[in-house]
Amino acid sequence: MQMRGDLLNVSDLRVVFYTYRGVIKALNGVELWMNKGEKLGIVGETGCGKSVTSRAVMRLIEEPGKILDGKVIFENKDIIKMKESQVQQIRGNEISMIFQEPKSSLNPVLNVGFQIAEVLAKQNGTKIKKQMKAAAEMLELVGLDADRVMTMYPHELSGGMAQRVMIAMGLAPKPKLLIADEPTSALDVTIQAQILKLLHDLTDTMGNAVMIITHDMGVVAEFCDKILVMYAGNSAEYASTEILFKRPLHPYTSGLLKAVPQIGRTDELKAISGTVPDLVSPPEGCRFHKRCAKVMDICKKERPRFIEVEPEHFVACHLYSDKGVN
Amino acid sequence: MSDNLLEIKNLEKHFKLKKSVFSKARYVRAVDDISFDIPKNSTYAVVGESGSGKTTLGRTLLKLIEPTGGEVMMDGVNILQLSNRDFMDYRRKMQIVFQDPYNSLHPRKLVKTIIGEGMKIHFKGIGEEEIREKIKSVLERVGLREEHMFRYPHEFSGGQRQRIAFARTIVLNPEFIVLDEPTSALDVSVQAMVLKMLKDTKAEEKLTYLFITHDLSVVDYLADYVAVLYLGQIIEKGRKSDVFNHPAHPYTELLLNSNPIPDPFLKREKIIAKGEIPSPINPPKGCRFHTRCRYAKDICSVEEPKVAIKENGHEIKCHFPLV
Repeated sequence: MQMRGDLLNVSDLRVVFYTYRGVIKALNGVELWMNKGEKLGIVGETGCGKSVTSRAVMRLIEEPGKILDGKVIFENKDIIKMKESQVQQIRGNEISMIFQEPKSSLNPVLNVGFQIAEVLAKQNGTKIKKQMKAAAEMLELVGLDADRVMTMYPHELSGGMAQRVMIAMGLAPKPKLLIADEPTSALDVTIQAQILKLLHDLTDTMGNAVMIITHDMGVVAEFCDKILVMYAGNSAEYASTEILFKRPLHPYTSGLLKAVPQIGRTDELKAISGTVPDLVSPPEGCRFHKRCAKVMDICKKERPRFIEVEPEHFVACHLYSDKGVN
Repeated sequence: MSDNLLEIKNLEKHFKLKKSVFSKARYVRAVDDISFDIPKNSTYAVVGESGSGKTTLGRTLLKLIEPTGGEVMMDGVNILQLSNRDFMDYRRKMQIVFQDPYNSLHPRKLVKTIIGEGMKIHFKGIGEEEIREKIKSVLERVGLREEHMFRYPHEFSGGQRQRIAFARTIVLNPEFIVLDEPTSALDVSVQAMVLKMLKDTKAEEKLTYLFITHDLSVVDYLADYVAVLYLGQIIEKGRKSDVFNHPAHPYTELLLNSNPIPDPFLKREKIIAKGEIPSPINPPKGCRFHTRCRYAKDICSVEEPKVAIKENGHEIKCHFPLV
């Protein structure tokens, strides 16, 4: 396979969930890659597989889910093929994660300082008590008053504070990649702005890459260097933020951009007709073809490949099948 | 007759908190002395962050929550003073659509029952045939089909459920609908459809909306007037074009600036607010926003600002309004 990013290369990732309704084909050959220090946004609507992708990268898919196939090459090692003990060396150390609901991802019966120190102790193989000072430094770094917050319990934190604590925990082991799954969706806009700024500035100083998962086109536009648009378990389009907004190629991407209300926007909103397909029995061919205004015969039969249509701009759509760079 | 459908005067809703034996009773002033007029056939947006009291406001003025004080005038009558019997017809005229379409529809009732129920109560003596005709036409009105009336809510997607919730209100020929975050549980592609339907229906049925939301970009699309709420008080209100183009309260400026804009080419300086939203149980003295305001001076923490009125009824509650 081609190594497109120097940090992470995901190719042909397939994940299914076995449910009583049938097999949900959640990821159907996802492709993505990241460079060191880069900020990648994964956008898409409910059920497009963006969260599953981020969990599969850390091999956190549990029963009834299963990773069927694919490669997750992180710094030249395939995480999918590793032993569980090897994955544990990476998880929480080199790749760490923060979640949408910060309060429910913190342990309610342990104080904040202890939880951060625990992460550091595990990484360095020392006693938790010895990491308290480092934990306090992390709290200061995320803009919290360490003297006060170290001994607080999760229920005493506001949503914004809890997300700061999560960021402190996520960045404490100095990961190479931080995965943030809808980190600000549960927060108010003024707090969201604070948290995004913090995340942006801290990761710039520490030099780690960030994969941010969101449904908010505004957040990716302001935060990310590169964007991957996902649809129904597939990578639909990938480009730098500027190019994606200026020249969206996939009909789904351009549809999405026309559907987003924006302050000062004067043209009428255009919705995408139809709904997201049921992934127990997804449509044949291109999974978007039933909602696509530019559908052709081939779209109903053959799945489009994810190809580079112009430098650094990838799209999976038959409209551009003959335009591949390679 | 004025052109206002509703005139809300000094509306208040205080919730009593649990008290311990030794302390005095404490109150949350969720809606604290709010006044505004909603012109006929307009969309009046109420925006604010969590804890601002926007949902309580919507429910209080429909009497779904009993207000602590104030007036809501409709057709020259203070509807808050009416007996339950006299209020009946206002129940029909004033409807609400809730935020979460997964919890607001009865899971074990057919769509036709959900939509038809209100008609049986409000249109006495209406025949089954007529009810059915009305359900059919209202389903088409909101973009669903006739056969959908024989299905249960779980068979629909979030966007479709919100259409059903909306159909249930407009079938009663209301004049006024409170829309409480009607699209915040929906994906953008679906949200666009629902917003459009709301806008079209309003024009055709001559409705008036109170649109409660935290999403300013949706407000820009739908609203004619805006009131910005902070900790139970209106801090700025006026025509949407005035408030959005020339925000005069520092909090409105902050909200507009914090709203992420899906345009990477737009370079603007981000304002980062100080601190977090204070607890509504114990709001700051003086101007309630002073703890987070980047322009705050000494007086702001001492004295509550008076309301300044500019042209077109643009009102600002601030000691040092911008521009």
